[in-house]
Amino acid sequence: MPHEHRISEIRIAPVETTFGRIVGRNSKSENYGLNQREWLVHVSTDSGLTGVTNARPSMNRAPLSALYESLKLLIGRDVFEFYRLSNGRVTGVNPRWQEYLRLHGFVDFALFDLMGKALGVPAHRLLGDRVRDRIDAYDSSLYFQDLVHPELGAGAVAQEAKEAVERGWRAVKLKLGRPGKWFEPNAGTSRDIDVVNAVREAVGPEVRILVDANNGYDGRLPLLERFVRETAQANVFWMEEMITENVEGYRQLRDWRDRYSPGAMLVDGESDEGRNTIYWQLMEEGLLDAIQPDMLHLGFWPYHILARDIEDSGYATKIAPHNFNAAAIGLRGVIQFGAVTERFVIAEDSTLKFDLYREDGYEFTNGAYSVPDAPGLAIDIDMDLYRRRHSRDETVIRN
Amino acid sequence: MSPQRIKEISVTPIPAHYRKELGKNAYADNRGTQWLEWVVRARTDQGVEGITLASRFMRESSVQSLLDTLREVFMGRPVDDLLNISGGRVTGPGAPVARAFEQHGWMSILAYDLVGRVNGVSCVDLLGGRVRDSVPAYDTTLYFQDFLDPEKGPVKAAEEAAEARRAGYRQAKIKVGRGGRWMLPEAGMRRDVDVVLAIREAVGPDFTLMVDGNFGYDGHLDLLDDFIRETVPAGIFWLEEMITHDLDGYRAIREMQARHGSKALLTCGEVDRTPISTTFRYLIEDGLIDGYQPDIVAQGFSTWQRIERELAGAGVRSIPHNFGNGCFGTYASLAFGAASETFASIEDERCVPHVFTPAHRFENGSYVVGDAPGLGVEIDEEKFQSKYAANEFKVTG
Repeated sequence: MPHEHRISEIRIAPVETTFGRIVGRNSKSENYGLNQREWLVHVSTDSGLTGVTNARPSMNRAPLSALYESLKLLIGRDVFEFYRLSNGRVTGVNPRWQEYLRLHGFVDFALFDLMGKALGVPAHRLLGDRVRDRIDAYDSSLYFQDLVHPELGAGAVAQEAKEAVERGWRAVKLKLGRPGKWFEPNAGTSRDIDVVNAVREAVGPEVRILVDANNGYDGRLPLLERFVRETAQANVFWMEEMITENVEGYRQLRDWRDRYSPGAMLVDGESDEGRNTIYWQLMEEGLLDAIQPDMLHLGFWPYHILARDIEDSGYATKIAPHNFNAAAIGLRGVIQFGAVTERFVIAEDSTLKFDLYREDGYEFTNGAYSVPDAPGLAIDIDMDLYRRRHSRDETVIRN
Repeated sequence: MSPQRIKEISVTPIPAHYRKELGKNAYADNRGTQWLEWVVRARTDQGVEGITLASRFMRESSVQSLLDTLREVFMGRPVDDLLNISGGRVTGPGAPVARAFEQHGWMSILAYDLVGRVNGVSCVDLLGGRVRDSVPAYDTTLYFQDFLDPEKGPVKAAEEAAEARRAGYRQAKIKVGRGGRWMLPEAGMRRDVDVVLAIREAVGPDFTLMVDGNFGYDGHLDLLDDFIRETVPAGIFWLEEMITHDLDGYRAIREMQARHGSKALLTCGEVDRTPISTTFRYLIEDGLIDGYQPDIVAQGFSTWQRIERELAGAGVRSIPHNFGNGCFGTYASLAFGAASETFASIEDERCVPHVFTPAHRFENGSYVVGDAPGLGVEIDEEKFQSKYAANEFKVTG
C-alpha cells in the first residue's frame, strides 16, 4: 500500500456558471435563474497530486467556515487511509472515517480522484470493471418555463425541449406538479398534460421524455390519474416523485401506470440515502423501478454499497442518481459510477455551461457521454483561467 | 347610488425583470434576473378595480389557498365595509376585515386602492394627506456583485453603483455581511470594507449610501467594530441588520459608533412579522434603533398606519422594507412615504415595468407624488391580456 500521498493543501473557490437562459420554477421552489455555482475544491498532496470535488452540499447547509473546519481535518492525511483497498479495488471504509464520509459524501469524489491518480487508473476502476462504454444522459433543465414566458404557455417548454434535441440530447426531463403550489390545481393539471403532449409533438417519437413532479400531486390523486391517462400517448419514459413516497399512493399510481402508460418507470428517492425503510417497502412490492439518491451527497462508495445491497435483495429496482445541483463535477462522478454499475439507468445533466473545464474525455455525442480512461475523475481544469478569475475569492487551507 | 360590492377577483403571476443579475446577500444564494409578482385584481359590480400583490403570501402557500383566502375576505363584500374613514382619512380597517388585514396586511393595500378609486381620492389622502411633494428612493440592487464577476471583484460593485447614479439615483444600499456564510468571517469583513470604499469612490461625496448586513455579523462583534471603524470615511447613512435584533448587541454597536465617530442610523425590523413585537419595542424604547423596517406590502397600509401611531414621539423613523415587492411595492412605498412625516426613502428594486403604468415620474432621485385616485397605477389591459392572462386564476362567487 503506497503511503506517500499526504494531503498538504486544500483550495476552495466559488465557480459561477450559466444555463444561458432563465430556468424557472419547479412545483415548490422559486426560479433557478440564469446561474448556478460549484464550490470547487482542489485537494493537493505533498507528492504533487490534485483531486477535485464540489462542496456545494456543504455550502447549501452551512457557512464557509463550517466547510473550512471539516476540510481542515484532511490535512496531513494519506489519501489511502480512508478506504481499504484490495487488488486495486476499494473494498471497505476505514471506520475512523466512516461517519465523516457519511456527513461529507462529496469529499469522496476528491479521494477517488486522488486514489485513481496515485494508482494511474480511472476512478470507476476502483469500484469494479466497466460494464458500459457510453452513459446515456438527459437534459434536466426544463422547468416551469411557461411562468417565465407566460405568453407561450406549454409551448415555452416544448420550444426549449426542441432546442435540447437540436443540441444532441436524446432524453429530456420535464418538471411537472403545477397543481402543487403555483397553479390552481385543475388548471395546473391541464398545463402539465399540455406540456408533456406539446413536448412529444415537438421532439418526435424517438426522444425519451422523463417527468418529475417534485411531489406536486400530493393530496390530489384524482388529478394524478387524469394526468397519467391523458399523457398515455406521449409514451413517458419515467415518472419521478409524482407523490411523496407512501405504499398506498404508489400502489394506485402503479395501477394507473399499468393501465395507461405501461412502459413508464416509477422513480423516487433523491432526498434520501436510500436507506429509509419506505424505499425497501416500495422495492419489495415492485413499486419503485429506480431509486435516486444524490450522487455528490452520497459519494461513490456508499452508492456502490447501496447498489450491491439492492442486488443482494433480489429486487428489480434500478439506479438513477440525482445530480441537478452538482453541475459538471457531479455529472462526471455519475458517469464514472454508471460505467461500472449494472443497474444504472441514465445520468442527470443540468446542462450548465462551464468554460473552466477543458474537453476532458467526457465526449457528448448522440445523447450519451463517453467514459474516459484517464486516471481519477479525469477532470481537466484550465488553471490559467482559474488563477485569473478565482484566486481573489479562494480560501486556502494548509498545515 | 347603491354601495359597490366586489364581484370578481383574480390572481396572475407576472414575471418581473431586474435590469441586471442580482447576486447573493449575507444568507441567500443568487437572486437572479427575474421574479414573479402575484398580482391580485378585485373588481366591483360597477367595474371599479383595486389591486395588490400577494407575492409574500405565495412564498409559503399555494394558489389554491390564496384563492380561498381572497374569496372569503373579499367576495361580495361592500367596498364601504373595507375601511373606517373619518375626515377623509382612514382610521383603521373595517370590522369585518380587520382580522384578515392584520394577518394579511397586503390585502389592505387593495382596499385603500379600491376605496380611493370609488371615492375619487388618492391613497396619499387616505393615509393622512401629503407631507412632501416627492419621495426619495434608493437603488437596492447592490448585492454581492463581486462574486458574479470575480475578476473585477469590488470594482464590479462600484461600476454598478456608478450606473445607479447615471440613472438618476442619489441613494443606494450596499449588501454586506459576506463573512456570515459565503466567506470566512475576517476575509468577508475585509471585502465588505473594500466594496463600501470602492463604491464611495465611484459615486462621489454627494450621494447617500446605506449598508445592510442581513445579520451577517452575528457572533462577530469584533469584526463589526472593524467594519464600522474602517467605513467611517464613507459616511454611511444607515447600518441595517448588522446583527440579529438583540439589546446587548445593539448597545455594543452604539458604543462602537461613539468610539469611531459613526453617525449612521441603526435600523432593523423587516423580520418583525407581528409589529411591534417585544424585542423591537425594547430597542425602540431604549433608543437603540433609529429606523424601523417592517415590510410595506406584507404589513400593508392599515398596519403601517398603526405602527406610526405607536412610534409617535419615539424618534424612530419609518423605513418600510420593500425588497421582493417589485414595481408594485415601489408605488405602495411612494403613497405611504408621501404621507409619512418620518419616512426616509423608498427601497427601489428598479424592476422593468410590465403591465403597471404608473402616473408618477422619477426626477432627481425621487418619485413625484401624484393626485390620481387610489394608488395611481393603471394596468395596461392589452398587454395583460396578450402576455399574462393565460396564467390568470379567477375566483368566482
